[in-house]
Amino acid sequence: MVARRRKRAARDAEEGIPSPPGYSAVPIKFSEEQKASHYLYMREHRVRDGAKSSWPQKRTLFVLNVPPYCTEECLARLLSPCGPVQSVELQGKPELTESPKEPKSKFFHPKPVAGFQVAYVVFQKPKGVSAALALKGPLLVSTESHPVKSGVHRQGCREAGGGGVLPGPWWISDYTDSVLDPEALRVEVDTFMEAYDRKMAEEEAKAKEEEGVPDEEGWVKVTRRGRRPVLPRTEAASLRVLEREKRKRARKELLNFYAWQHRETKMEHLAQLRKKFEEDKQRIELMRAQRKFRPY
Amino acid sequence: MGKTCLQEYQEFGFKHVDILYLRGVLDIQGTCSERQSNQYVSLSLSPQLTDQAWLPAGVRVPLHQVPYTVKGCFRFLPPAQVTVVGSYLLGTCIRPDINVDVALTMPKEILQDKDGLNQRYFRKRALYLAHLAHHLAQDPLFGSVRFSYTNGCHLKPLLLLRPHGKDEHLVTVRLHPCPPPDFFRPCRLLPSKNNVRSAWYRGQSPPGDGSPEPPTPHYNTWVLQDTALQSHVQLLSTVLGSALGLKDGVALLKVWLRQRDLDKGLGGFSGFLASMLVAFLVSIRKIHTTMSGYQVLRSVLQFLATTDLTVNGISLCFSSDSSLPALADFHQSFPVVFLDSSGRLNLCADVTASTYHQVQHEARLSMVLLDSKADDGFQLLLMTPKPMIRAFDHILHLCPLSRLQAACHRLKLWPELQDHGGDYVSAALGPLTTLLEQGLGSRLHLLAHSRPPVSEWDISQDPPKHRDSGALTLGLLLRPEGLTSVLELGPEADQPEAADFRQFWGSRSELRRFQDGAIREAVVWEAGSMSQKRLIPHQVVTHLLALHADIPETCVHYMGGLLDALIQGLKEVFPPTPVWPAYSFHKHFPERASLLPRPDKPCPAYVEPMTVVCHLEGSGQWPQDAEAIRRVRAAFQLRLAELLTQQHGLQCRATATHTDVLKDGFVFRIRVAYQREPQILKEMRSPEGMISLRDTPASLRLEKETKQLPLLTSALHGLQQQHPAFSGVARLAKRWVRAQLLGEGFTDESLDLVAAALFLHPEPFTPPSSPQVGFLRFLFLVSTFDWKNNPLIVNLNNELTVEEQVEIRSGFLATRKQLPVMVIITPQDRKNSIWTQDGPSPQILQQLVVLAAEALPILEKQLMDPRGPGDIRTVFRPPLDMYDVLIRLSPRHIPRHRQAVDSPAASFCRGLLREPGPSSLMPVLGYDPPQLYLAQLREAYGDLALFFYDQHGGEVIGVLWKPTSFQPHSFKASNTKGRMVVSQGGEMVMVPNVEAILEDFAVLGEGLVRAVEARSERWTV
Repeated sequence: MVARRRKRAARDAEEGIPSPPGYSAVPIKFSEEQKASHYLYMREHRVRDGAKSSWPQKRTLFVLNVPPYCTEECLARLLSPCGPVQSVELQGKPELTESPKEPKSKFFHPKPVAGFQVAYVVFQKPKGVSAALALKGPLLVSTESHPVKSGVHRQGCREAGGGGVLPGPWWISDYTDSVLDPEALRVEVDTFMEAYDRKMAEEEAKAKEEEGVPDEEGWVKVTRRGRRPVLPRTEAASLRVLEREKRKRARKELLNFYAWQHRETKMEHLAQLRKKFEEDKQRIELMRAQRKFRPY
Repeated sequence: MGKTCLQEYQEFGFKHVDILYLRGVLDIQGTCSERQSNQYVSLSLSPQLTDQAWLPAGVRVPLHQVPYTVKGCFRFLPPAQVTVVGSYLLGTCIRPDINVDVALTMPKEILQDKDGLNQRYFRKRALYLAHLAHHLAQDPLFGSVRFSYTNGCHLKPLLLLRPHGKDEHLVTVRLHPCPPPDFFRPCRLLPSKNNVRSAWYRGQSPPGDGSPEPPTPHYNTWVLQDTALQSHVQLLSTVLGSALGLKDGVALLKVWLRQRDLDKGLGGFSGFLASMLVAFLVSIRKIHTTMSGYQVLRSVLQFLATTDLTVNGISLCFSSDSSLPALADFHQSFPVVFLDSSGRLNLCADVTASTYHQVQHEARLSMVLLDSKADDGFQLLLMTPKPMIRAFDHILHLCPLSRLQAACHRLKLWPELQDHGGDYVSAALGPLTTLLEQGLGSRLHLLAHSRPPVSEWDISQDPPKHRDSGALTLGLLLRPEGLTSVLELGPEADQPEAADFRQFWGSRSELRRFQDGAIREAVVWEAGSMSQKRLIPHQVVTHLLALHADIPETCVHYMGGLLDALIQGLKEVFPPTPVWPAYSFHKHFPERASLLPRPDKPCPAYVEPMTVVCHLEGSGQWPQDAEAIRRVRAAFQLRLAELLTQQHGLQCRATATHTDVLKDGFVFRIRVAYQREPQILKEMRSPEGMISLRDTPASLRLEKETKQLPLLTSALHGLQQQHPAFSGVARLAKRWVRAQLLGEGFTDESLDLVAAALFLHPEPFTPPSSPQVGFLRFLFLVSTFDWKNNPLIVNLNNELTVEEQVEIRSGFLATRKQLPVMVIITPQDRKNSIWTQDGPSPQILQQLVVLAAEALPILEKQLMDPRGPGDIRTVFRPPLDMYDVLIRLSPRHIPRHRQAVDSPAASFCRGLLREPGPSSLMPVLGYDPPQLYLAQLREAYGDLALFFYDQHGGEVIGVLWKPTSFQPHSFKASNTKGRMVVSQGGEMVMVPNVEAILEDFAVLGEGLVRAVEARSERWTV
């Protein structure tokens, strides 16, 4: 395997790093000490016609296979020689459809553990994208001028720019982050609930307003809040209704009245017996297979 | 004579193998006749018994001749008659030991009057066999000619003949010499008679005061047994002769006895006894000849379960001859009485009372099982072996056996020794078991003993000595309710029984004054915890054996609490102990009243909070939106913390999902739950506005945590109250599974439930009362249970009826494909097996089954080894050679390092104080760097590899590449994790970037990882 590896390395040197069509591959390593490197696969961010994207066309670089120790800040630093970087966003999966992004609460949605990620890097100018695609690498995540620690000793660069960075090892800083400020939590809960209550109240008011008022075609919407509450529209309720109907029909129906009915029931009975017989046969077969009649 | 023998063989349609044997036997006679004419002409010229110079060099006398001098003469004459006796003739032989018993009737001419005395008959019998052995060994027909003992009785050797080569294990012919009919006068061999004179045996004249010679009941019985071989086989063949059902029944009984190890050795409840018992039940019309095998088995078990032969003996003799001895006479001499049709021979002479009680116990258990309508009754009754180590809670070995000789002298057992011909193990067994039974009293349910197996030896060797025959093994079945007491209460001091009590307990007996004012003799044992109390029998046994039988502690090898050491290391987790963190060891976070780990110190101790689920009362005020409910819950958590701090002064820390509360060094994690939340999470709105309920991962998780887990915990708590050994078994099981690095696949609850199954469905055993036996049965269950075709039904609180169980089984078969590989059904969870939903995978389960099957025999062998178990942790060490990459961790950052199987001699200080500390800051909770590291590895490389780790202080992570991960596949933007593009045959494909990944392992765990060992010879990219 080592020989193969060497061969591959030699070939890489000759032909350049193989990359999938449309992408360019840039090697990335944690530091100088590592011998092997991962490869970033980059291309310009494009969307199909008609689809919208939250990232600006032309200026956005789409990066695949970002290793877990490479944070947003690191990536920004590594790509800054190509041109000023406006923003970097790391995600678990490439984004397929545009979805409205809400800022997620750190209290209720703890950040998941990072694996290999994809990145959307927005440069300030379109030139940055082409410069990045032409990078030769290898990029180094941790250098002497910007040491990055990992494992127990990794620096907490998670809240970089946030100001309140707690120095300390990575897992320790994670733990420190998990000790949250209850006051902030209270504030967040209060604001959310206020908004929620307001929304509910609005909806209720709107429903009240609409109640009994026919729309332009003359239909009146019947709601739960009316004078005579109707059945809730749930699956369970509709199943109950169906069941009741069925029972009612069964009571009315005449069984074994016509000759064909007689015939059919008999046939059905026979078919069922046959089926049961087959099942039993299979079961006995299975039991035979399981039982090893050899006590010791 | 030869002709009759041949006819007999032909009648029973023997195969060619047996015909060979027949020829062999006939050949002996030919050879013997020649010998007769030229060697020994008349008895008067024949040598004395003590003159054994005529014996050829290659053969030794198969008998210990102690004392050597004995009167009488011996010469060899061909047998007067050769008859096949025993089970082969009756057609009730069972595999794998197919024995053909052949009785050789010695001719009258070689026996003398008074041969019944002083072992003369046995000496002659042995010499007769030695002569036969010499000639048969020269015959090329036989593959092996060896000696053994008849039922382990060392005065009665027999000769084993086996065919050549691969037929060797097919059949064994056993030759039993026996005296001519009517040679011995039966009245001389009654149990009250003496046939071994003290003057001869002990080499001293009897005391002159005319005290009678002690009776030798066992010796007499052994002589009588030889005379009765033919009449027994006749009786059995008339009873069983034509009734197929009876034969089936006898065969079933033999299997039943064999599975319980009851039929082995001297004093075993042999298959022959079972046949005679059937004959007895036929004669008293409890069994009819038309009954089926099952009915016979049932009737015999019922009879055994309800009849105590140690008190009320039975007899096959129905004549009212007044010259016959009464049953009471036999009860005086033997513990168990079952007379044959002559009325003079006790068939159960060698059976000890404890063996019979064991038979009774087993019969009772089996009757319960037969009555319980369990659908796998057959399997449990007849197909499950019950070796002693797995059936009894504690095991003890007495070794070396020579100590028992001293014990016999101490217990003054000379008459018994004389009776047993110097077999001190048999002589001491009865008194020793009685002693221990009395001493253990209410702690003991059943005491059983197992003799070493009957040995075989080559004809050129001396018979094995008593002391070389291994060890005497005793099994204790404990009574859990009796185990909790540390006190043996004796009589009041002024009662006459007090002296007996003092004599029995020796120096341990003390006068004590009790709360009710009584002053009594009492013995108090030192035991603090439950696990120590469970080992009080050990103290009792060693004390009593040393006191009364001169057996020092070094000779008693007690196997009861050896595995406890493995789970006591887990004390930091269970049972929970209070923690008092040292403040200087941690970083402080005063505004949140919390302690934090410090980067320059080793990782602090692992503190796992105990989760409390707090259900709030239902109310219409709750919002009907999942996100809003979470906010309201968070508000409750905050309020709870506030109130607990204000009103009770407790240190609290609230988060969005739970509130941690510190109380007296314990940390509780309170989770507020709202009953309707899972329901709301399940609601889905279809495009038409219809609301339907669908399980979602979030709703299932919530339901599990807040609904099913509390139910399960309370059920298991109930079980623990009933069976105090449960927690020990469950902890050992978890410890073992995790030590094998498979802990990730099995949830706590699933292993708890498997352990619970051992207590709720112990058949054919009784519920375990010690962690050791429970763990052995756990391994047995895991390795033999057919997970593919059966659900493991754990009937907590006995809520499932038999009909419901049948329904569950049929439902299981119908939906097998959708269910997880390991299905555990409880009354609360009848369909889904929620605790095994997310694992294990089939491969992991298979690995566990293989490991359990490997571990069980190793551990059992260690525990049954009388010289000591060796290293008991062997089976807890994982095999590491199967992994592709090993990641070695540094102990500095393993918080549970001290819980490791091989407890490290030195580890790091984890910042805990022994005494309660001054103030109260929240300790570091659940901070475990190896687990964080694993989570990161699984997230990043979970597609490519599996990671195995022992969370209880393991120092190594095993990595196994997934078999599919090295297959190249085409480029996909969504699946580039850790892979790289290479061109293969002009095509661009992706393969894992193994070199970079291996370096990543070290990078991600910097500080924690000591070394990454890649065994690159195991894989190719």
